[in-house]
Amino acid sequence: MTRGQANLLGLAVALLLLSGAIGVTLAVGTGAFATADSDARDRAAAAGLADRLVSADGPLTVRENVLDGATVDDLNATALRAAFPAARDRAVRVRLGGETLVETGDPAGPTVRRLVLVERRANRTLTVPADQNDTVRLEPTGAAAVTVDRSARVESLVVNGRTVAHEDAGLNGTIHLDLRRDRPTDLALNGSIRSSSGTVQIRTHPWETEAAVLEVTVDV
Amino acid sequence: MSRGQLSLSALEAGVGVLLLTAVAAGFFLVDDGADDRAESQLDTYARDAGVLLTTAGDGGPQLDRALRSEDAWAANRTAIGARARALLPANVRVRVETPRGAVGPPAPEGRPVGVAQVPTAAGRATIRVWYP
Amino acid sequence: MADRAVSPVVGKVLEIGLVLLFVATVTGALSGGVVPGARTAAGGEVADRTLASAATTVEDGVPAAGRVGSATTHLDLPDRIRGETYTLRADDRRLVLDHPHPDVGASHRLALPARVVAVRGAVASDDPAVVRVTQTDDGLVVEVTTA
Repeated sequence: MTRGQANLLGLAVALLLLSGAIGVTLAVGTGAFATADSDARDRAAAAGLADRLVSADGPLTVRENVLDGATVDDLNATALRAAFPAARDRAVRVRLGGETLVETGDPAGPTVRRLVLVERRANRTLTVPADQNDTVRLEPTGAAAVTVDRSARVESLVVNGRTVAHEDAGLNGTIHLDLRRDRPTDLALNGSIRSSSGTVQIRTHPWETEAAVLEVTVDV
Repeated sequence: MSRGQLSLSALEAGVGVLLLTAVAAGFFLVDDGADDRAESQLDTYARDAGVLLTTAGDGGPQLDRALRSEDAWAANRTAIGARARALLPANVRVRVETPRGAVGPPAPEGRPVGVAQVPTAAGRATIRVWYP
Repeated sequence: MADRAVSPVVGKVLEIGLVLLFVATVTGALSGGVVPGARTAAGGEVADRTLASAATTVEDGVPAAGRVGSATTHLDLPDRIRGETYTLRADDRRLVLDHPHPDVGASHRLALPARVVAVRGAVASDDPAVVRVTQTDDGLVVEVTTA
């Protein structure tokens, strides 16, 4: 007949066990809350800044998703913050092609990646002997400078069939041409009298583009 | 007469502990959203690839021009595929589907795939990107 | 029979009392501190995500350069967070989620192009919300308002 006391003891032990289990569950639950994904705003901020960086109306781009290499090379934290309000008062990291362009603070947030082309202008000089009525094909370039001496007896320059410069006595000096940058240009050097010597120098600025990944990390 | 009975309370407490363990374990079974994040980034890749394939303006193969006719597509198909692969990072696969045909491996099922559509001369082209 | 500790009836009453005490204590402790705290934490998370999603919708609602005219985009907001309605308002290029509970709510700065000259408006969470972008003489104006 010691059942009464044994039952009470057994109950107390059972309730203690239950309390322990409740405590463990609460600890797990609180831990889960603490480590929950809290970077929704960081991700939205990074996506927003990345949109501004690659958009066609920004200071870094030439066209949508095409960055200007020279501007990108000059980019620093001050310039970034000045041009993009979305980069102010936050820890920001911008990387391009695996190299860090700007890093302010120590952002530990999520990274948004964008595909871009980086465009750089190179300088090319072509020296062409002034044989009669030669046509030179220039790679895509927005402008060209043609330097010609009178002795070369080039009387007219024809760009894609259109005469842009003409001098009966022979062109002399440097002529600047505005060209279509998205396709090659046919430049014809026409003259009526053959020249024995004389060359024409053509300076172009073709674009070189490189595909790269722009990575933007923001910590709000 | 102390019967060797297992205390009912102990059994009840055991059931209670089991229930609480199940609740605690439930915290670890929740989806962490990684697939959604991957798909969002892949969608962005696809959209950027669409922009660059149509308006890059650097003299490279251009999707709209390549779709002007069947002959143009046949001639430029490989170049467009190569260009699309060059635009994307090395760890991403791409497929360009156009009204005149597709270039690239078939997109997988059941895994996050980013999709974007671009208007072209021949209709809508679809670009699909995924992690292999 | 003298070595009986306690009579069966008293023993049973003690048992019932102990269990009731246990249940009352645990229920009181949970509803007093743990459950409201967890609801607030969850509510804060939902508020953060709602704000981030709304900010992205507003930023995407601004038409690309070169396109003119106005644009209207639907804003998806949950009716209630932590059981209460709240307000989403614009405050000088920031989007603010105002919630009655002090620990729930956030503000987020929007990433907008320089063409956007003003961001304004407010909407209650239980009204159908839209983002309206209109072209004015000075530039684009972004407004958060009811449909």
